[in-house]
This record gives sequence, structure tokens and C-alpha cells, in this order.
Amino acid sequence: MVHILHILHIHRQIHGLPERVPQISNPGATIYRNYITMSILILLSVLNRKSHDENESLLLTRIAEGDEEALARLYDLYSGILFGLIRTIVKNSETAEDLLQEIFLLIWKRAASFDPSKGSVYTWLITLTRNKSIDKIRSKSYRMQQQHLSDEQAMPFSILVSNEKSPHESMWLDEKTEIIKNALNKIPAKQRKVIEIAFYEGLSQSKISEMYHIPLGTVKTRMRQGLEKLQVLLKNSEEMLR
Amino acid sequence: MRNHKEFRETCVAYVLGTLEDKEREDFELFLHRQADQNHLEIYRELRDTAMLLPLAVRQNPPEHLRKQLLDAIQAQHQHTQQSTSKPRVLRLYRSLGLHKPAVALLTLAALLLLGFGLMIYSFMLHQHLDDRQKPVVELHDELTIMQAYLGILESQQLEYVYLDGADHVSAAFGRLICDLDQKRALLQISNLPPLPHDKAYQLWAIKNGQVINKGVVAPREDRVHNFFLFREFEIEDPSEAESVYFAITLEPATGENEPSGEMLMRGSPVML
Repeated sequence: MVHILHILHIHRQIHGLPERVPQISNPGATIYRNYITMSILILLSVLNRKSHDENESLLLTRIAEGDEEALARLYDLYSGILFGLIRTIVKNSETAEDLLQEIFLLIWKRAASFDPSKGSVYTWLITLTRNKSIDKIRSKSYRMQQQHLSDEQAMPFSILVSNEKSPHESMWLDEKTEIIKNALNKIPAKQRKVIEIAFYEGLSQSKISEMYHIPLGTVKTRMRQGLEKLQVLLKNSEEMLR
Repeated sequence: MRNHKEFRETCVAYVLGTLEDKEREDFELFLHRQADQNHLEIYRELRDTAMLLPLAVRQNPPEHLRKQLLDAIQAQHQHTQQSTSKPRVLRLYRSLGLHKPAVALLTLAALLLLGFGLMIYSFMLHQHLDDRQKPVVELHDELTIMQAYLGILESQQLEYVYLDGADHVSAAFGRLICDLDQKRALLQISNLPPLPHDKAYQLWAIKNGQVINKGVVAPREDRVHNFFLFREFEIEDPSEAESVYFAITLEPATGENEPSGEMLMRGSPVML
């Protein structure tokens, strides 16, 4: 419910609507009001998601046509997510800044290659960014650079769950961010860690097994169980929202 | 995939990007060739779940990065546009700080100048061609005369007239060879003084006291010997005429019906 009110609050901010304090007169009226609010939010969420996907495809089409404003809009929407992803993988702010710029220049050049039949714009951006970042940490130059960093500068693997939100990013992303953070906190730490190591370090299952002294079968099981649990939690959260 | 559990395990590893290269290729091949709708649905759901992980690590980049990126994009965009679509002249104008109206005016002026230049060049080219054509025409004329001369010499009936210069032009001489078969004649005149302005030499035939105009000729000053071909040249048979002779006089350039100028040459036919 807190989440629903949060979305309603953002929606009011976007459309300049005044905040209203609910006047609770009796329990029946409260249930009725909540029912109406939830119905509106379901409708808003569905419409918002649909237009979100279409708008983003359109953004990429405009970028492919050389529209600089469209790229600026895409940057405003996704720079926070992509920068967080890059920084978590490369573990260095300066490298992350360079890589973010490099990736957006790549998007500028390759926007025409986006195929909506293969997935959403969001998936395309995340895959592209993750692949580039993993390539970076596997590169010789990056490894040499890391060797020169002092122990204080070198960031050990850890996931810093951030509370940052960009003022430009969409309501849909805010909503999803809240959900994923809550869901990740609910899965067992051992399963979460294996998932995060795999996703942010780009290590194969056998490497994870070797490096963290966990049997390969256990790595596979923890990974599968963790992601399946996450999937169920996300589904439940969305259903609760509806 | 041997079973459902194995498929899900491999699928999870795939969407998290943790499969070895060979395993990844095998799984993609499976998805492409063997997977049913259920497999594909599981794959899409797990992929979408994995793709949400980065949301938990959202972190805004430094503010300056946005401007830096957009400046880089703008510079790259302008560079691409200039190198692909903008003509060099426009780039030059831009670099000089000129805007659209100035560019249009300068372009118009350049086009006018170019048009004028082309006109002059075209005129000069015509002149040059005329100059080149003149000797060719002259050579052609001479060749025609020589051919006629040879043709005349082949004729069975020839009338030959030797023209003597008058006393005041004693060095001058001429020949008139008439082809009675083809009714044509070749006139040679040599050593005549240069023609005054608006004047020409006129050839006359005088038969039984009657003067007949045979045509006007204008020799070139730069040549000692000049040849002229007369077509449709009526020849007076000397055997039938009591007295026939030819004369050349100096007349106005348009010619006269009767001789009015001074006599320069004169001669009688000789049957060959």
C-alpha cells in the first residue's frame, strides 16, 4: 500500500495535482476509496507501461535519424541505471564515467540496429551495457590499471543498493526499482550473492565454484533457486499492485 | 536439455551471462531450433527478471557528464553531416561566419561570374575554331581547283588563252583554260598588283565586238599565283567567231555590266 501511495504521489507531482489527505469517516468508505484508488492505479500502470515501451522504441528511431534531443531524453531516462550497472561492474567511478559516455556514443551509432521483436529497449540497453562493462574488466589495460590501485582505492565486490533516483527517470522505472530492491532483500543471502557475482562479475559457474569454494552443483542450484524466487516475488509484487 | 530442471538451470545461467562460450552457443542453438512455446516463455520471464537487477544499483552519474556527452554527440553529428551532405563551399562559408542570406548572395554572384566567364570562353573558342577552320577551307578550295584542273586537262576539247599584262603591269600574266566538253574554265592570274579597297578584277569575253561578263575574282594578296574555277562557263567557239578575246579589268567589288575600269590583261584563245 505504501508503494501504491508513493506512485500516486509521483503521479500527482507529474500532473501538478494537489496532495489530498484522506478523510477517513468510516471503515466501509475507506475500503471503497482504496478500491477506487487501486482501480485507477491499475489503469495508470497498464497505460504507463504500454506508452513507455512505445515511446522508447520511438526514441531509438529518432536517435537513428540523428535526433540529438532524443538521445538526451534517453540519457535522462537511463543514465542512472546504466551508470550504476557500469560502476558496480568496473568498481571505479572514473572508468565508469568514460564507459558510460562510450556506451551512449555507441547507442548514437547503433540505434538503427535495435530490433523490437527481440526485446524491449530497456533489455537492449542493459545487455549492451553489461557486455561492454564485462569486456572492459576482462581487458588487459583494465587489469593493469587495477594492479596500480592501492588497497583503499580498489573496491572489493559488494553491491551498493542505492536509493538514488533521477528526477528525469520515469514512473515505471521508479516503481520497478522499489519492487526489485524489496524482492532482493527477501531472497536468501547465499542465493543473492551467487546471482550478483554472476551478473556483475561475468564469471562462469565453474569459476565461481573455484573462486568462492562452493561446489559447482550448489552454485547452479543457488543461482536457479535465487532467480526463480526473485521472479515469484516480483510477480507477487506486481499482482499486489494490481 | 535432458529435463525441465536442467533447462531452467541453464536458462538462469544464460540470462545472468555466466555460461562458458560453448555452453552459450549450445543453449542459443537449442532456443533457436528445439525450444517449444513453454521453453520460450520460461526464457523470456527469467530474462526479464535478470534484466531488472541493475535497478537495485541505480546511481546518478556526475552532472557534467550529460553536457560532455551531448557536446561530443553534437560535434560528431556536425562532423558527419559536413563530411556526408554539406558541400565544401558551405563549410567554407560557415567557417567564415556567413549565414544563409549571405551564402545565397555569394552563390548567386559566383554563378553569374561563372556564367559570364563561360560566355567569354565560348566566344573565344568559336574564334579559335574559325581561325583553325579558315586554312582548312582554303586547302579544300585549292584541292577542288587542282582536281578541276586535272579534270580539265583530261578533256578532249580545250581552249587555251594566254593573258598578257598591260604596259603598266607588264610583269603580270595569266592563263584561261576552258573545257568545252564540261563547260568550265580555270583562270590563273599572277603578279597583279594588290587590289584597292572595294575593288575586284572582272573577266570579260569579247566576241565580234560584243562584251560578255564572265565573273568577278579577288586574288589573295599573299600569293603570287591565284587560281579560280568557273563552272557553267559558256565558251565561244573561236572557229565560229570572227574575233574572240578575253580581258581582265579593275572594277568595283560588286562587278559591272560593262567594262569601266582600266584594262590589266588581255589574250586570245589558242586551239590545242
